[in-house]
Amino acid sequence: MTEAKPSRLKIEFSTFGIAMIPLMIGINIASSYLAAGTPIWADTLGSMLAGIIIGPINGLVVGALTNIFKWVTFDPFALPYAIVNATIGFIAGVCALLGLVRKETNTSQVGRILVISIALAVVATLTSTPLNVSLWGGSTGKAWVDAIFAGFMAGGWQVFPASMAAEFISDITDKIITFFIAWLIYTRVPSHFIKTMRR
Amino acid sequence: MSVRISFVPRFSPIHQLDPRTKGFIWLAVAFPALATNSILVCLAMFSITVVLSLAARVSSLYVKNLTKMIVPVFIPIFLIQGLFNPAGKTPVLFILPWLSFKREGLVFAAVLLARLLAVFGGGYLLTLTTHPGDLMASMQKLGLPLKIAYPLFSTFQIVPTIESRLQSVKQAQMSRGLKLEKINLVQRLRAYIPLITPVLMGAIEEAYRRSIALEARGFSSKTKKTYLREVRLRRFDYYFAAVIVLVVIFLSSAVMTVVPRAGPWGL
Repeated sequence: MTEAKPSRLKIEFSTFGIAMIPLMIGINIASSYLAAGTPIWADTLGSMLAGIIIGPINGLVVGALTNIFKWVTFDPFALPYAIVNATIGFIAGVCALLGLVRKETNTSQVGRILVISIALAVVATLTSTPLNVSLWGGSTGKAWVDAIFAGFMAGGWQVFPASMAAEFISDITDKIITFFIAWLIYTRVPSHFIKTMRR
Repeated sequence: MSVRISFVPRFSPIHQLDPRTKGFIWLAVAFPALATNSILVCLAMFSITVVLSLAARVSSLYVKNLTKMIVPVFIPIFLIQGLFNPAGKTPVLFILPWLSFKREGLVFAAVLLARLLAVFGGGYLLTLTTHPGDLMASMQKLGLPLKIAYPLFSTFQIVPTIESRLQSVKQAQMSRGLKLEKINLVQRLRAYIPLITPVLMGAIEEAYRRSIALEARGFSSKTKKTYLREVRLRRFDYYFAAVIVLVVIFLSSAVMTVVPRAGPWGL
């Protein structure tokens, strides 16, 4: 998706790019709503797609604004995690810019997606654990993750490593599944569809 | 999913305030809570926001919604911290011979809760009493570029449309034989793709139409823009902010002198 040469900001913040942002925020929210009964969050699907389809800075803005919007409407805990969501969108976008996210469906591409999602999980853990520990003493707000966290604490671990381990276990499942879904959806979007609309 | 704006239209002095004043009050209330970490100071600051919500005539909603949002998150926090916090030493309540709630852990969880109330209370009050349009206008006056402010505030309209589009895609796919009820986890995750892909395609088309509509209204034109809703700081705003700052200083210093702090695990 790097065909034009005007500055990246110009491409990603064309009027079309800006009009995409609220829709991608909507996809983030719709996706986390669909994931309500599952063990994953999936609340970064829209940020990842924005990063892949439009670009890293757009993904970053989508991620940050999603959490600001959630915080304004129904979730007072969402604001600090804007950093996490924004980083995810940014990294997914950078990977797509580097040509790591392609539309072909073969083993090497699946391997690449797997590596990227593990990287995303590591980044998400590194950014959200300090927030979890300093704001809520290590809890995450998802029951099964808190159960793992409680298990580590009962085993005599300190708060920070216990919270980090629990967060990593949850993030690795969440990011692998979400990024796979994002990539599979991306393979189904015809590329001329985006090109003609973007101009 | 039922995403609603938290704004409640009422006629009150708080609603009349400029959003920037409310943002400033929020910072003024949150600062001592973050700086001292003492439960009593935090609760004193939270009580200021409760009084303000009374003045704004949204107090019952304010307290009810905060409780609804906070309680489900804090039950596990109290359980985990009370039972397993490594700093916990003095047992207060035994559940099993080897498992007990400890005072230090419970106090730590209470500090977290009080701090959350003080820090988020002001912000929630701001969103409860401010029209999103006013919020957008005042954020732009504070220097937020339109290219960020527009997407944030148009999200309020777009999320309900995405929601209804998702519902119709769901029904369309179910009529084609996609199973969505009584399915296991893998099937549920697999159902993501037929559900989200059409929503995404529709979103891309919608964004295209919106970009044309925006350009027709001069979105990227460099001329100075006017707003439908006007926000401005009046004399009342300055007086109000000054009174709140005085109350905050008085209350926090009063609490700190009456109850000296007893270490990070004390009250």
